[in-house]
Amino acid sequence: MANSAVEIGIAHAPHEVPTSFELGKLGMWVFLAGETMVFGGLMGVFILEGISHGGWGSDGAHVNWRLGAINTFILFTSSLTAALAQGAARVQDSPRAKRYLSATALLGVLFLVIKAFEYAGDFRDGFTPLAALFWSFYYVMTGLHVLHLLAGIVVIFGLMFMVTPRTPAGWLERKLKYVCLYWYFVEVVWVFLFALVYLAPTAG
Amino acid sequence: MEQTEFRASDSLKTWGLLVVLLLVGALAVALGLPRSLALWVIFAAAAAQAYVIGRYYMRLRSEDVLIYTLALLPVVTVIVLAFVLIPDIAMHR
Repeated sequence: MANSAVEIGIAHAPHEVPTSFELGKLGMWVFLAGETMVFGGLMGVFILEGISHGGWGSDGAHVNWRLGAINTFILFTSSLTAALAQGAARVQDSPRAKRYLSATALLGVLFLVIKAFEYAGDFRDGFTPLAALFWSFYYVMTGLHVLHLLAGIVVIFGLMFMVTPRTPAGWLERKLKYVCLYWYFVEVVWVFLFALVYLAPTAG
Repeated sequence: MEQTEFRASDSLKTWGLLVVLLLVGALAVALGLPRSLALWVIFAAAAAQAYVIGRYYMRLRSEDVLIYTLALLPVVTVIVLAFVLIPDIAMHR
């Protein structure tokens, strides 16, 4: 078993099999459960407010869903490179894993650049956070997502700099497991934000 | 359990599937489908994308019941809370 793994065995009776799992992975899933409540709560209230207003009307029609679609494509590609980094780390190929990781982080940066461009356009057109309730939700939800993505980028860059030729085998694989789990979660959040904030208000 | 064999081609297939689902959702808007139909397509595509990411990238397919519980419990809680809030938010305008 890996160093970071802890075996928890409760064998009160002969038929009971000890359960083993990694505490790090468990901790990450507990963290993600809390994050799900945060984003889920926001999205739930956004949906209910939309229903109570009979839809978001002309406010929602101004979002640039094409830029949102491009950003979704970028995040999907970043998850592909993250998965490839995990695969390279699994066969102890740290240099290749670092290359894929840098691609992941750079795609994340590209996402942020496009988002900044989008925010600038919205502000220029007068769609500030105080312009309407829709825009308040828009900036809070996408802004919170941006902060999460930024955190992921910082962690990925940090991880890349921590890996040296003397790094023990398996270390990067274990760390990447948790970092990528977080990155994929941020992607899942974006999938629903894209559907809720970009596509649904402009549909029909 | 965790050590499922990694294949780059599987990751590429997953990525391709996600891109196809993205196109499905975007086309529902671009083609100007009737609103109710477009909403069904958009949210079905989003749910499918989340499922694909969870199953293949987050490796939920090879996790045990504890992780499944941790993943699904907040989702169920949020849905229940949203339904509880319906009378207060959606019907009091």
